[in-house]
Amino acid sequence: MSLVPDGKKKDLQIADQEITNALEQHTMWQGSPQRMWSAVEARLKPAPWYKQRMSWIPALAAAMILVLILFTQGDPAQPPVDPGVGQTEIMRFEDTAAQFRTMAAFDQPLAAEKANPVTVAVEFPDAVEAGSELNLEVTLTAAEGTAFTMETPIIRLMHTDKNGLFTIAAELSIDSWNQKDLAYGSPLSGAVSLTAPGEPGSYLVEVSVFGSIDGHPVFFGETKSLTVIENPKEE
Amino acid sequence: MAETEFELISRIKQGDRRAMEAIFQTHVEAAVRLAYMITHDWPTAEDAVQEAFIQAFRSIRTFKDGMAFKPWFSRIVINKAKRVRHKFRVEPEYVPNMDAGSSLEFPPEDQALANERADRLYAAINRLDEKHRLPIVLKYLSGLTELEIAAALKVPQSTVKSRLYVARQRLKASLEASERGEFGA
Repeated sequence: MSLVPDGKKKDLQIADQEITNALEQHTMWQGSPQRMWSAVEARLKPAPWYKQRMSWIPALAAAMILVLILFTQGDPAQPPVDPGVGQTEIMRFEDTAAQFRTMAAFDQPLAAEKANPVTVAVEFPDAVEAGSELNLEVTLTAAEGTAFTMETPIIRLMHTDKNGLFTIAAELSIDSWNQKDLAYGSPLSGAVSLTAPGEPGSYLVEVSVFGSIDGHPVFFGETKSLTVIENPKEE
Repeated sequence: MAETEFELISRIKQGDRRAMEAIFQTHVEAAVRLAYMITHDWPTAEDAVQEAFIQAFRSIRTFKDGMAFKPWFSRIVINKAKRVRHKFRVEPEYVPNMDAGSSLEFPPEDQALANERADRLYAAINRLDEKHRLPIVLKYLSGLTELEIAAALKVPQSTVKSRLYVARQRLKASLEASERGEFGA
């Protein structure tokens, strides 16, 4: 039996508006935009200090060593030394200066890193079942004017216990990205699958990417938390 | 005076949260509808859109100035929704349109027929394979132009044109078959 009266058979031509209406009527979202925005905004906030990359640590260590050496070298209480020993001290200071030049060369990219020439993003569900497949999407983007040549990115899954101690639960590398060039406007992204740990708990997923910008060694990374929940199928 | 989308994007690139919220509020509903047409499940559609916004804002510097935001963002939403659907293996479900019958603007019989036809049309859209369903959804639900759909799906505009044509032919055939009582055609 026909569902449409004969006089309305011409309506079988589908109007654009009819398709739009059919789709809109069946996709009325009842959720809360404000609640979703709160969740998005929370995820966009800077990571707490203990999750941030400690890019200032090498600079602080270098500064402390420099201060230590300067104090040691300029100590007036030191007993006088014979000319031969003094010559040796001068040479040591020159060696130290050379070391600092090397460290300064390493430090330049660290300063540039603060401006985020390369951004590492890793996306995955906040929680997965133990032993299930965990899909990670890794995306690297370069800022304007940046030409980054990378070494093999490393992904580590680390277990954190109640005392805050880390244990590496899994580690894998993205070998196909070794020596790849990353340029502005051409982000690099790829998906990696691994089996989630069998033990429920809190984990950290860390993506580390070493490489070079203008010949200077640089490092970029991203760390995000993952919760592994019990898998009812395995019980 | 309301800011243009270009101005908002420019401010987002400088880390402006208010600009992010403005873009979010503008696009969130359409994005959830689009994701739902892929996941067929509201919570997973919301998850996909949430992840899509986070990725979009984090990688906004890769977005080229002067381009429209919606096609670029739609692509991210589609990718996220497909991933979520794959993870949870959500099957499409047919949901009859229960609310639309409350309108008193049309005689009840005509209204009932219109609703029934909208239900069958929606079911027919969901029976399309994804290659043909997505252009239909992007055009008629998201309101993208054929050029923007091509950008969102990363296919040539001519491909979009032909997929839309084929999709409409199949929808028409499907509706005609259901008129003849061949349910599931």
